[in-house]
Amino acid sequence: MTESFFRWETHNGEPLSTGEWQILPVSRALVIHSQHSPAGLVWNRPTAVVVKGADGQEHLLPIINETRRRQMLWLGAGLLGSILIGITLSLLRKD
Amino acid sequence: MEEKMQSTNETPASFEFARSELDKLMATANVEAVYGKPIHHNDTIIIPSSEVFAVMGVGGGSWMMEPEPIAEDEAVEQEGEEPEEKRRSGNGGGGGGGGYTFARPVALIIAGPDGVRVEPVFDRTKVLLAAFTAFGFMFATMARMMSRRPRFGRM
Repeated sequence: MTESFFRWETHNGEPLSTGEWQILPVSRALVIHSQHSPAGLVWNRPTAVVVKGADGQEHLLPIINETRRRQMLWLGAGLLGSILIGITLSLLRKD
Repeated sequence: MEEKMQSTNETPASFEFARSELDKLMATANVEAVYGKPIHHNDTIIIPSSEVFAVMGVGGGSWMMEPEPIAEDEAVEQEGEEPEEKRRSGNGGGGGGGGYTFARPVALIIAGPDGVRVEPVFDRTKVLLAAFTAFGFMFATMARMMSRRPRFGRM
């Protein structure tokens, strides 16, 4: 079976039991690699934990990268602010 | 002298080593690479989790020159030496590689008697740098717009 050059992989870890809870870690990895190329890239990150209670109910707890989320918010705000400043100053100049 | 060169089919041991290192890099896509070993503290278990980024590349080549007879004027007769050994030949090769990895904590999974929760790990320095970049970008846009001359001069 040939693997694609660019792929997303989702992996489940070994379940961990603690008290009445069973925790299953889940990760997602971006893999850019070909069997025939001598180069590769892996970006692996935790995505969620599946928590199973004593009653058998499963809950998905997502793992959010808070730092990246706020970085993207700031950078997006900077880009949007620059565009708004540019439009506003252009309109003021025309008046 | 025209040199006849060809690439060798045999892969040097160093390239095989590089290949094996690349395979190890690809193994970082597993779930064990992002979740640390659980830390037990009384009735609580803490599992650290982090994101991992790894990139690596290797390359190289090796060449072997086909043996060819030495010209007659260069040939030096030596006693006991067979004519087939009076040939020029050689081989060579080179290679290199590089890589970069980083890992950064993302969250802690805390499991206790009262339940399981995820506590994000917040990097204040990185967010502050992003904020400064955003403000700098806006300020630079404003400064450029203010310094630009109007297209049509006013009377």
